[in-house]
Amino acid sequence: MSNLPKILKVASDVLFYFVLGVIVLTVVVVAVVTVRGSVDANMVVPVTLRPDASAITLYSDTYGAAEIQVLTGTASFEEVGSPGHVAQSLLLVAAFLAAMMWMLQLIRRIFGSVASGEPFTDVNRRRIRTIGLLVILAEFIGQTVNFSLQQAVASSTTATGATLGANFTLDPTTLFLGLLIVVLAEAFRHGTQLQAESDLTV
Amino acid sequence: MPIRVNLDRVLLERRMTLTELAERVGITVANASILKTGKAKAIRFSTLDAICRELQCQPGDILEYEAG
Repeated sequence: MSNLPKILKVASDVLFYFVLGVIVLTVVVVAVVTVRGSVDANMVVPVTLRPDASAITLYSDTYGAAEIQVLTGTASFEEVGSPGHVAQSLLLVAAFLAAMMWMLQLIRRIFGSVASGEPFTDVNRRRIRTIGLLVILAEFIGQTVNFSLQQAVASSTTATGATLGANFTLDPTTLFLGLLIVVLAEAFRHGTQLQAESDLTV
Repeated sequence: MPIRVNLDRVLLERRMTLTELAERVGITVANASILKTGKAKAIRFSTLDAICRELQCQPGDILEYEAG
């Protein structure tokens, strides 16, 4: 059997423990920030801007004038002495990393089973399906959190030359990838059946 | 499974153990046991050929069809 599954297992192990380290560090930082009671930090939040008609103009000799309808990006607010918001951001990051850790753990176990020569098992089929569903769920939750943050900013902030709004968009590529992984799990179901038959063929 | 495996009877007649047969045929003892206990779903012709050669028997001596 090629060494690739073993190499991938080692790589996923390294990544897993790296992410675990980052989560532990994040939790420690949150604790320190909360205890200290004050912090110098910039708050970076997603924003959606609808520029006023004359605020920004685009003109191309080839394509003519353009109307900019929506701009998306991030705004960096200077925030001093608000550990609550910083802790909130860090906890969101920790939650995202925890989901990534769960996925990495599933991937580690899949690579481990491939390295040991038994990839087609019902357990692996369930792991792959879980990864696919996690990818889809992460996209929904991520965009929901993004949308909520944008709404929170829009409701408490004024902009000159533009209107602040909120945008909820799902990345079709991510959704398609998640769906593809779920379909792959179904292919593994067939592989598991073939493996079971092969195991009982003498 | 309507196909019954009479391997234990033929082994007894030839005074051979399952382990010996597995070694001579080139399959694992676990696989030989799966065959003997009727849990096998399929048997390769190459395996059947080797078993018949070692036990000096016909396929019909070790495989029997039972209707119903």
